[in-house]
Amino acid sequence: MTDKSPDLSLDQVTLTVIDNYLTTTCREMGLAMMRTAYSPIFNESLDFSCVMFDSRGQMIAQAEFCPSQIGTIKYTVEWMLEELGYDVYKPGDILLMNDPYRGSGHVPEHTILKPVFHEGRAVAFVANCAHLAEPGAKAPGGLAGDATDIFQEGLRIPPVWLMREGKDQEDIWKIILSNHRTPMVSYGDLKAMIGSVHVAETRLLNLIRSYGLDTVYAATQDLIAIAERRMREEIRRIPDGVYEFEDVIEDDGVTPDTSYTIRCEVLVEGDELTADFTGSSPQCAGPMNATYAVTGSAVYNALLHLTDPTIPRNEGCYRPVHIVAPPGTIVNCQYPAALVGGNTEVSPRVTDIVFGALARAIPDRVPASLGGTSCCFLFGGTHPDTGQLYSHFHFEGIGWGGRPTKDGNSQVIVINGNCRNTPVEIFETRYPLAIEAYRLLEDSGGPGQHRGGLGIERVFTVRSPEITVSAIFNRMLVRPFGLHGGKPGMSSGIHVRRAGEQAWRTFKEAFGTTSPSKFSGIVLKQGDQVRIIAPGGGGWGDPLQREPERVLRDVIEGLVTPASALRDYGVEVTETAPGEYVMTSKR
Amino acid sequence: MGQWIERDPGYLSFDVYNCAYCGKLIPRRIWMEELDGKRQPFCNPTCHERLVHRRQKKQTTGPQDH
Repeated sequence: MTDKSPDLSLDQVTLTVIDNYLTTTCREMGLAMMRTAYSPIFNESLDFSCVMFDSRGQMIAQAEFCPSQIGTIKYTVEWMLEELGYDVYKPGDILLMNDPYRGSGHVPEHTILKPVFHEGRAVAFVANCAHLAEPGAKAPGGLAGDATDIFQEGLRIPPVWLMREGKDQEDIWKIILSNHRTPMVSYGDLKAMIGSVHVAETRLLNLIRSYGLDTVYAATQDLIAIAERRMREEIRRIPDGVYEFEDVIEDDGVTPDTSYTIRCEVLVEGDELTADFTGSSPQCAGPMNATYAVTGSAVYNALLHLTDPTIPRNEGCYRPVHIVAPPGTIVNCQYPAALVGGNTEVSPRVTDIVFGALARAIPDRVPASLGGTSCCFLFGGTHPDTGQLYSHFHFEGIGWGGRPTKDGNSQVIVINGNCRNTPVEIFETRYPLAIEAYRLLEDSGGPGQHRGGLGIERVFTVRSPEITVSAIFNRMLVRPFGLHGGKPGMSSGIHVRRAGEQAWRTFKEAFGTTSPSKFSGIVLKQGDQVRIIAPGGGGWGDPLQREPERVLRDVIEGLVTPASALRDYGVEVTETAPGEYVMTSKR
Repeated sequence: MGQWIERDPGYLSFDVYNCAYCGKLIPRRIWMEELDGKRQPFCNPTCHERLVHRRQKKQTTGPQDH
């Protein structure tokens, strides 16, 4: 057990202990942020990620928080170190950056980086990336669905020293917080991020004191080598070939009735995999563009879902995977294009497209499409109880795709987020909105041998004199795809009902927005209501192959209606008393 | 034969270099190598090699089988 491989420096036990210690430290970084941050997007949604790097900027550990940030932070930290240098830091320095044109996912996502010093030299870097609910964009909450350039999406921060030798750089703080609608909340969240990297520094130095720097360094390099070798083995199990798939982003929020194609060719060649997006649409005029880092992160996300989850999550995982994203396309937009929706909408689409491509190669491992939108609903205003400005980014759980062995999960945050939902009680306490309904939507999961997960309906009522809302949705027109005979999931929606009105309308119908799914700065009044429909996941396999008993159970649990049971599954279910059902005929 | 060059990531302008193979923005160190009669930027020599490899493979096996 303790024998070491000839190509590794250390034995397996030591490697496992150190790997688990580093991963646990990254988890503890997240807990520190969760417990000390001011905003619900941190302490309820957990929209952040925590990662450690060696002195050359190679990722050595991560925790399982937000996948899109874990993927992009690899590029973010590389850029920060390349731009500023690897050996220009002093103990106590803290660096900050959020620029999407330097590797960040989008402007709201801020990265904090801290060098860790041991015996006078920087031996590692610890970092986190987190979504600030208020980055100073044209729309409260930061995601303006109709932005046309990066300057409308918030304050863009190049790599800067936020602290030098343990001392706050007051000028930098002043500039940042003067540009945010909620400076106290941003201050608290940024300080929570700083506390988190302090935790990581303490833990890492404890590890070095226990094992010695040479052993810890050797372990990290061994773990990277192991991860690379195991990922190469996983890729080698995929049959060589070229696998293609494409899907669309429905509109860009500023150009009416225009969709954008994302096309991917997955090339598997031995133990290497290339995802080539040549042929994708040119970048759009609105904010539905992704940066190279977002696209790369989404490809990694797909592969990490399809490969052995016990592979150490570090630099080695990524080495056999290559991304080709032509500049000027929707998957690699060029400065100064708007892009804030790329990280919420293009990212899950890219992951689904990689799934779709590989479904032909490894059908027994690939799920159908998930709901594929973050259902971004942003709002802000002046709180009637406090007189203070507030803003919030609300995202909604969706149905995930049916899997080769089981149904898709219901009401789970989109695959690039891995966040939690915000409890109704927290939501209503913090913001002047009442939640009138929050329920799974029957029949929203795509029919299949393994059914897609269900989406939800949520209804808000405005409880303040006015509130400003924005949104970025997708999957309103093109439903989440099924696989191998499975049917699509239900589409998404966002609707408004003005106080005193009976009918729900789209925001396009009610306010004349260019897009029904992407808009910003709409002012609602007290008593107005907003309804969010989160999409279901696609089904996997022919629904006629689903066991009739499982269809009956779905009807009893309110997940599938008797009408769908008959139409989609060929199973007749009859209600014999209120809430009681029996199967009256099988196919 | 290619060579490394360094760009100055200043702030008075925002010049960017995308890798001629993968498309990634290159932060500072750029591998310049001649391709199609002109010097082009790459992340590193490996990106240049991959581009050449994929072109050769396409020429020998056709567009669907590379």
